[in-house]
Amino acid sequence: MRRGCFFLILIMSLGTFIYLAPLYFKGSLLDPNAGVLNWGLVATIFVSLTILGFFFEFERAAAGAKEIALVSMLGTISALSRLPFAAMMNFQPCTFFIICSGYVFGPVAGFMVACLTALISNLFLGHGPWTPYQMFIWGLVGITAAWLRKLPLSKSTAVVALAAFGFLWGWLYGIIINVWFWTYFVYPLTLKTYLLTLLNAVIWDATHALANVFFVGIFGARVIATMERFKKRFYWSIERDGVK
Amino acid sequence: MIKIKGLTFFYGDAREPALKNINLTVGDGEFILIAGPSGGGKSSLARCLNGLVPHFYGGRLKGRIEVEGLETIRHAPKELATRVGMVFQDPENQLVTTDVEREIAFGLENLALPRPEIAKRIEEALDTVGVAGLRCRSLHELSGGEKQKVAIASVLALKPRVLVLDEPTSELDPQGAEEVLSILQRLNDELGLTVILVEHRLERVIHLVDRLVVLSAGEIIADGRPQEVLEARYEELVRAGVGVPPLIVLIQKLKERGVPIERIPLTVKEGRAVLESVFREGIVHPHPDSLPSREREEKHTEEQAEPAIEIENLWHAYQQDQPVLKGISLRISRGEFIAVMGRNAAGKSTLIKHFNGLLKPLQGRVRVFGRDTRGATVAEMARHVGYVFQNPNDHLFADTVAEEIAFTLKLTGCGDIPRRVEETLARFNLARYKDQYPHFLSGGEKQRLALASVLVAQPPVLVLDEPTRGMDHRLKNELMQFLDDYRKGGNIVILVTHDVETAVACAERVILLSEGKVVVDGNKKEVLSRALLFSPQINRVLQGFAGYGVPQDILTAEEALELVWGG
Amino acid sequence: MQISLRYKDKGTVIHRLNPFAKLAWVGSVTLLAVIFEHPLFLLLLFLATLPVVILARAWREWVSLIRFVIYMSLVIVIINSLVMYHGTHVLLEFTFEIPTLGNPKITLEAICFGLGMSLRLLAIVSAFTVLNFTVHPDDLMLAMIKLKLPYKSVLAMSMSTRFIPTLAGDLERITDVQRARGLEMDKGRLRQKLKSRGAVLIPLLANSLDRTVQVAEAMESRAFGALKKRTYHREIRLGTYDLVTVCAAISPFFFGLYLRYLGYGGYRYYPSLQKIDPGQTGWLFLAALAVLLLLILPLAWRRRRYILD
Repeated sequence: MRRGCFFLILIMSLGTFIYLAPLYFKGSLLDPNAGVLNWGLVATIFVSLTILGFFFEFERAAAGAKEIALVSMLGTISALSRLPFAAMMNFQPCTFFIICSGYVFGPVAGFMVACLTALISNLFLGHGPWTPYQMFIWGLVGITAAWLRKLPLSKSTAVVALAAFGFLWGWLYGIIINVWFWTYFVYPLTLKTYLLTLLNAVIWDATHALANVFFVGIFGARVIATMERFKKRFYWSIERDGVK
Repeated sequence: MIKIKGLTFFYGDAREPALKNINLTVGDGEFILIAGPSGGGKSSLARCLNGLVPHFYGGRLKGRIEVEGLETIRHAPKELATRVGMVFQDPENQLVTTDVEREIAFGLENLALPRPEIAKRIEEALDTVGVAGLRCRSLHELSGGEKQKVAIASVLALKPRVLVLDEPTSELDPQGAEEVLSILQRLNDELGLTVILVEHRLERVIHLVDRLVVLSAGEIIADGRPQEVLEARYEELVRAGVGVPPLIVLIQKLKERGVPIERIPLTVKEGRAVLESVFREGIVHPHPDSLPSREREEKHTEEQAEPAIEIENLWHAYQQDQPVLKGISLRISRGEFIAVMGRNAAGKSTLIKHFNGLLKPLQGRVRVFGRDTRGATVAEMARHVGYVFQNPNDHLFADTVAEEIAFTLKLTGCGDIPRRVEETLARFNLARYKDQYPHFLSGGEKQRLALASVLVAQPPVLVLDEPTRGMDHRLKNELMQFLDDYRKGGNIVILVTHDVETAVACAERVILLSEGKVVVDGNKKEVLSRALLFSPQINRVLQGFAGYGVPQDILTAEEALELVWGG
Repeated sequence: MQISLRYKDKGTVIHRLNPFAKLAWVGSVTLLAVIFEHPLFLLLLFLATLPVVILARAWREWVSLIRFVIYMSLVIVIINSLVMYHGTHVLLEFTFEIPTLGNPKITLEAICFGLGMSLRLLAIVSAFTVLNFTVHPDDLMLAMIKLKLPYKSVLAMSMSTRFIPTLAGDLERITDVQRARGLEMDKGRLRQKLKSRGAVLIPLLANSLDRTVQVAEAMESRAFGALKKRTYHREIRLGTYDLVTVCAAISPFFFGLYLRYLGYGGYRYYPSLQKIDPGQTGWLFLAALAVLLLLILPLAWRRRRYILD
């Protein structure tokens, strides 16, 4: 767990640095607008390396076939659930499903389900430079959802907490994924242009946040209860040995 | 070589042991059948042999299991894989990759074999099982039987000395099952592989095996050569709910009445030989006119008045130019019990999905109680037509058993829900489980619950798609008894089944489909006698005794006994 | 539910090309598109993808993507023209003021920048079409294994693709079951509709979790995890010819990087548009880049099995 924590703190601080750098290093070599560093590439490389880190963590943490089969099945369900909603802006149940997976089965399962969601659903919807970003953000959703587990929540408050959490991540998702668009296609990279990029996607992010609340509200309790039952019955090894 | 001594095993926090004081020694090259009722511990025993119990499932284990010199308590399944191969029930759930070659390679890659060795072993495994023609196919295109054969091949590639199969044919159609079983026989005969087969339908395999072990309530209640066990322990087996083949039932009944039979026949051929001598020596004489059940049935067919379900020239196609149903016309009246039979892809499921409007006719018309299904939604039809699907898991949705039943009532808009739920729970013997999570009930209980969740709405038409697949003898009988009672209440029961014995047991009318057309439609006596593949065992045995005055339309052991003794 | 992979096996030379070559080529085009700003260079990248798309017979699918690109381009143009007022050629000046953004005006330069960036997007999307439509998911995973990515993750992905048809079948069956029980999937408002989907989702989830246990059991019974090391029956061939192809596919990237170092490929949009003509050597370099980008086509012509098994 300590190792995982270190890894997370590292990527979060690095991520924040890369995220904020264009706004603060005006005029220096690090200024992306100076044309020396291509910030879009830097961010993409960072995101890809982080995912690779996730994968190595999974290699170490996944004890056996049970965990692998579990994440791949949940990942497939999540990915397929995205497809019928493809036409409805960002109104999709994936984020909800990743939250539930992370919440019940822990951070490692959470981020793997997230990565698979992006990888598999994009086999149908199309891969692009956005794929690593989706894996990255959803991965964070899965990891942080597992943290909620530590809070002293009753069954009913858990759903409320998850709904609020989903709402928050709906917006955060937009805030992070638009970095891709912003650094690739907008000039200059300033706070103003960034906010405008966000403003342009505000409907997407709003539907996303609402969808998360909606899905957690309708299915959250049932889906979590179903997963918990199976976890208790078949995944005793996870409980005993811990994924951490 | 397998040695089990004093094995007792408890799952997780279960209070009752799943296996109780098991002692078993299996020699090299034996072909062993493990039979017994559901929940008797067959699967648990099979999983002990390669260490899945206790390494995968947890639980408490006492005693000693030694396989090829290794103690399974100390060695996990992954280490035992090269000694014990394990094939599971559902082919869909044991395949890991997307195509045949890679599937077989998976285990070999896990053993880190060099590539040429892998290629060689794939070749061998494909040939041994006889699926070389499938090598480049995607797994999801294969039929259940083919998938199961690939699963066997992928286990054989690891070159185990023992092959354990946990009900490998229960999810397959008869043809697939037959092929899988003949492969097992060949593996045992030609390669000398020790085969341990878990199966509850004896009639299919009993003649292939060297030894029969019967488990009931976690204990071995019989162990020995099939003939001996069936002869000496017949009563116990029947009491434990083991599905004894009808031929054995007939022979045992004959013996009880003093007919001297030396050797219990296991196959149709042996059965004929035994009966031949019985008839020839004139020990018993058939009395064809002493079959009272016959008249009753004929009377019943006359009652057919106005039809409840009318199908006129029904055509259906999922893809253009590939019709699945080709001009089917049927009339079904109240109180009928119908079995729909036919090969795979003959259109059985497509046909029955028209009864409740899940599918709408492409051409022609389907009317249920005068109502055209094209003008009605499935939900509206649900009040008239109850539909029980093959896998009860697909039905189960609610958090508790009671809610599951109430859900249907809510959907169909029935009143007085709590009372009806209570009634139904009692009727289906589920009251005990009222507040339990449906998905974790045992197989038989789940099946009952699925049935209850449909029947609570009291639909006058009940359609069942392969309800007996994977069910043991006792559950099957219970279900059939129940369905027959339901029919007697003036309802229609329509059953799709591959299992001839099931159809024989209670259906009266049999519809045989082939290539989307009705080939035969009539009383089961006409359809199922002398029909080669679709004839029940007793009928096949009695064919060829016409010279002794044996009518050729006898289907069950009971009838055969009536024939001889006049009821 | 109608689900179909983007990948369609049309058996063209592009489909038969070693996936590493395609990955390298798509990577090159994408990276070049990101580092170049010059509209002519971006246009070249975009045009270079067209023969590959056409050869892969993915033309129709490509066209269907264009709608998305046009929408995104519009967004790019609008955002850029709304924030950048530095241009000297003012086309339209609004009289009102937007807080923090000031007095909006639309300049020719901003629109041109937007269009340039649209070309960048077009090139990237177009290049990824090749990846999406001609690389089979299985090959993608073989490539990942060859790249020594952690095996368990690749296995999880591979198992996911294997579960897709199973889940699709389950979904269809369970939908039928619940409809036959009287569930109306399309009745009522969105909330009601989604709620009735729950009657399908929950059994689907429960069944799937059951399946995972059984699949895991089967995997362990087949020696999964018995050894730390493992071998692979099927691998992507990386022989001399394949390496040559991969190098040819990467070459435009390094050449482009060198050009960028020399000062080509950059472009100043503000305060007024730079001359678009890159000069004689510029044209020459463009031509050379075009040749390198298309080098992969003649190399693809020699069909070779790229899978070792």
